[in-house]
Parts: sequence; structure tokens; C-alpha cells
Amino acid sequence: MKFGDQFRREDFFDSSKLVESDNVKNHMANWSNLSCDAIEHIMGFLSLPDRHRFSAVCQNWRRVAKYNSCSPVEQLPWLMMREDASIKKRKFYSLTEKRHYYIDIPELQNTRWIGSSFGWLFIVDRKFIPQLFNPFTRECFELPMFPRFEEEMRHEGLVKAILSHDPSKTHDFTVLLLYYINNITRMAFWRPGENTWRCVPCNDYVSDAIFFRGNFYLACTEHLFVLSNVEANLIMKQVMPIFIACVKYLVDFMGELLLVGRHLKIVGDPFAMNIRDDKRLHIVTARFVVHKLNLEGRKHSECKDLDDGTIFLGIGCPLVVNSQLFPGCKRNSIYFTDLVLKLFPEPYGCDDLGVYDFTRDIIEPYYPPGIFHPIAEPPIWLTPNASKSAYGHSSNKNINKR
Amino acid sequence: MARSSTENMITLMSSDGEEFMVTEKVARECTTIRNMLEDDCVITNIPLPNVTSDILSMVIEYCMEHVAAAEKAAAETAEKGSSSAPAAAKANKDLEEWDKAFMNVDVYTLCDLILAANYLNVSGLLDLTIQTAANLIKGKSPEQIRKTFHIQNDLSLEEEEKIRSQTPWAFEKSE
Repeated sequence: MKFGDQFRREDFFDSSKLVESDNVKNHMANWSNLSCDAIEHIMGFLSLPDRHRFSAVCQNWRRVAKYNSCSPVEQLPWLMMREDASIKKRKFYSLTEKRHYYIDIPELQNTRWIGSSFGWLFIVDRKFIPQLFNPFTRECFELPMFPRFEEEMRHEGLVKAILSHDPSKTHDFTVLLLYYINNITRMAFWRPGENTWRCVPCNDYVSDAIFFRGNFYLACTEHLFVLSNVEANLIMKQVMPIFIACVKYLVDFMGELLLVGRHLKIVGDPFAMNIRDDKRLHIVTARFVVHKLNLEGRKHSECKDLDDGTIFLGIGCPLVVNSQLFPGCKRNSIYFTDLVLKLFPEPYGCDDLGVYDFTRDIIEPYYPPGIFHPIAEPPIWLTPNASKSAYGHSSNKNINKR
Repeated sequence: MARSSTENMITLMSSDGEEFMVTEKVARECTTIRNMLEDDCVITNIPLPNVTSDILSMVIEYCMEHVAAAEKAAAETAEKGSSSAPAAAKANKDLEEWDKAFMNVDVYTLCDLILAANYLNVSGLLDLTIQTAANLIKGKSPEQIRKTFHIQNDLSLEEEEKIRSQTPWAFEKSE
């Protein structure tokens, strides 16, 4: 006789009936006094908002949540938007939960943001003072003022800021800021502990920058450049020609460097002058193309399929996730927000949000369409990062908690 | 599936005295038992005073299913020289479906399974049960979580207010 069959017939089915008819007192334990290990293990699968709600269930769970330091499960980025004027709270949208969160973050009032990396925002306040700010821990790095001769760069000259590493995890990181003066791109570097920005002109138009495998790379008009010796006399070296005639982004796609091109189109009626007119002339995204960059072979080739990968693209650092881990997240797609620089001034605000599906070559909305987000507070992808800096506040005079 | 007659059988005894005879291969899915067998290879009877018979039978069922799936995959690889990717993907999907159906239990049973999987150190079952518990928590308010898991609220009003006031946004209802 086969053993497995015997076991199933005689033991399992009887006992399964037993389980169904069981009552509470026959059980070994209940949920409120589960071991700390098990509770911690469960918490490891929860996102940040779920963790907060989890901690308010009972004493035992609260204790574990309070002293648990493991970071929340990888999650989809949130869309950070304008402040809700009536309640003075910052508006966020969670794609996973398909809901808004309204969070009181006074530090973000009257600021604008030009970057988001590892859950940290690069913000500039009304007095033009730059800062790195984590809205979920409220930690900030006060950055040096921009040099005086750069005053003319003004707010609209700032393009993008990226970080090499997560400031929550290491003190050893570099900020790269891209900005324009008189249509020439300039770069500025800063590392914790430094009192000034190191400004370097770049004789080309820089579309995007990324920190990849230990180096900063720049996507310029016709070439990809790699930067080295960032700490002292910067060396900028051509890596390969890149010819794609559209807005360029550099994306770290699970260890591979991608060049993503965004094609735009002009829609609407040039004679529709009313600001609220749906037919007014404006620029929207038409489609995306993706090229794999082979750094060793110094060439690139078009890639038609991202497989299960999904890219989040916009003002901040692009984010890549495996869509299979997130129910409701479209595979082989790019979720995008508005362009950093508008090709012509649009007084109406930002509304170029959508998800481009490579399989079907179509764009669909992921957020209610027809809403105009103010240009001063454009939607930006931000991954909630609630882990406090590991090295505390004492070692660095630049880090403050407000 | 055919099993060789020389395969060692091991008797597991639940806390309520019921005996379960399983192959050594199935028993070895539990790291705790595997360690016991490695320390003392002639052991044939293992008392498990922390696991009731109904839960032990479920743990054994899980281990048997996963051992069978691994054996089937190994046999296919041996037969064809290499396993075909679509067949392996289908087998994986079937096992995932089986796991999903296996997790169709009430929350008390789920809690006992977590304890048993933890005690017997069955990592696959532990991950499965913990993930199932986490999925039951996702998107729920503290009240809904308590209701789902039959947990008494032992926090005072002040304590609860304090927790909520730290991150009020997480407790607001979605529009």
C-alpha cells in the first residue's frame, strides 16, 4: 500500500474535520501572545502605513512595533502632490492601496522640489536655501547656499538633483545638482561635511544623470559620459554615442543601464485660449523607447520588452520594481509624471501623468485625469523611507531634526 | 508514486498522544527533526509535546506535498536530461495554487500553524503562514485587524490616542 494515500485517507480527512469543528480553547495559542519573533516576521511583510495601524492593535504588537528596527517591505513609490489648501496637509497617493494620505509636513510649505532619491527630497525654500529632507522621519541635511555668482540661475534654472547613496544608511554620499545658466548646463557637487558646492561647467546639454556601479553618468546631447575623480578635479570621459531624438532618462534596471527616451506630441487647438479649455494647446507624452547600454562594448540596442519590470519615471530618480511582487502594478510598463522642464510655459499646470504599456503601445491613466497640478508643486515619485539615519545626529552638524 | 521499501519510517507523536508514521524524507523537511536525526541516526520515535495532532497532521500534509513536488521535478529532470522551463513553471504554479488552497483555514488554525512551523522549523510553511497573516492585515484599520484575529484591545484610551497622534494620517479613512 502506498503510504501517502493511507495517511491522507485515515488521518488527514478526519483531522481536517476536527479543525473545522474546533473551538478556541483547543488551540495552542492566540494572536495577541504570539512570540516576538513571529510578530516581527509578520511586520516584515507590511508597508509603512500598515505598520502604523498594526502597532495600535494590542500591547504585545505595539511593543514589538516600537522596538523593531527592520525596514518595511519594499513598496511601490507614492505620488507626492501639492498641499491641500483647506487642511494644510501634503497630499500623497498610494498606487497599491489606491487611496490618498494627507500628512502634516510644515517643512515642505513654500518649497519646491527638484529631486527624490531613496525617499529623500531635494528641496529649495523661498530664500533659495537648498536642503535634503526626508518627509517620513523629518530629518534634514542643510546644504550650503548656492555661490553668489550663481544667483542668476534662479528657481527655474534648477533641473535635477540626485544622490549617490541613501543618507539613512551611510554618511558617505554625494549630491549631484544639475542647473542651467544662460542655457549652459552646470554641475555642482556636495558631500556631508563640506561648506561649499563644487561647481563645474559642462560644455554640453545634460538630459539626465545617474549614479550607477560606483560612478555618475551623464546623458548629454549626443554622448554618454562617465564622471570620475568627483572629489577633486573632475574628469569627464565619453563612453559612447547615444543618438535618440527625444527627452532622455538614465535608468538602473536591476543592474543594467537603460537609456529611456520619451517622445512628446503637441495636442489641442492653437486658438483655444481659455485656460480651462480642454482643447488648449499643450505637450503630452506620446510613447517611450528603451535602449540597453552596453558600457563595455560601447554601444546600445533597442529593447522592446521590460518583461516583468516596471519603471517609475519623472522628476526624481527613476525607480524600478518587479511588478510580480505588487498586485495591480502593470508589468512591462512605465509610470510617468510631468517633464522637469516645460518646453513652453503652461499656465494650466501639470497633467501629463500616465502609464505606458510596451506590450500594447498605449498610455492609460493611473491617477484621475483632467486634474491640473500646480507647476510649482509638480507630482513626484517618492518611496516612503522611515528608517532613521544609522549614524545619529551628533557626527554631522548638517543633519537636523526639526 | 513508488517508494523503495528500504526507506526509513519515523513515528512522530503529537502532544495529545497520537502517532504519525512518516518517511524519513518527509520528517527531514522539519529542520528541528533533521537536526535530531543527524545527532542520533537510530532514532525512530520522536515526541513533539508542543504540537497537537490536528496541527501536526497539517504540517505533515504540507511536507508530503512539497517533498512529492520536489521528487517529481527531480524525476523529470533525470528523464529528459534537463527540465523544460514551461513544465517547471507550471509545476511551480501548481504548488503555489496548492499552498493557497492549503491556507484556507480559520485564524486560530493559522496561528497554531505559525507556532508549529516555527517550533519544527519548516521554513517554507513558516513563510507561507506569516505571509498569509500579513495579507489579512494589509489595508485594515486596528479595529478591523482585532476583529479578524479575535484580539482583545488591551490598550488604554490614552495609549491608543498616543499611538494615533504620532502618525494620524495612517489612521484616517480613505475617501
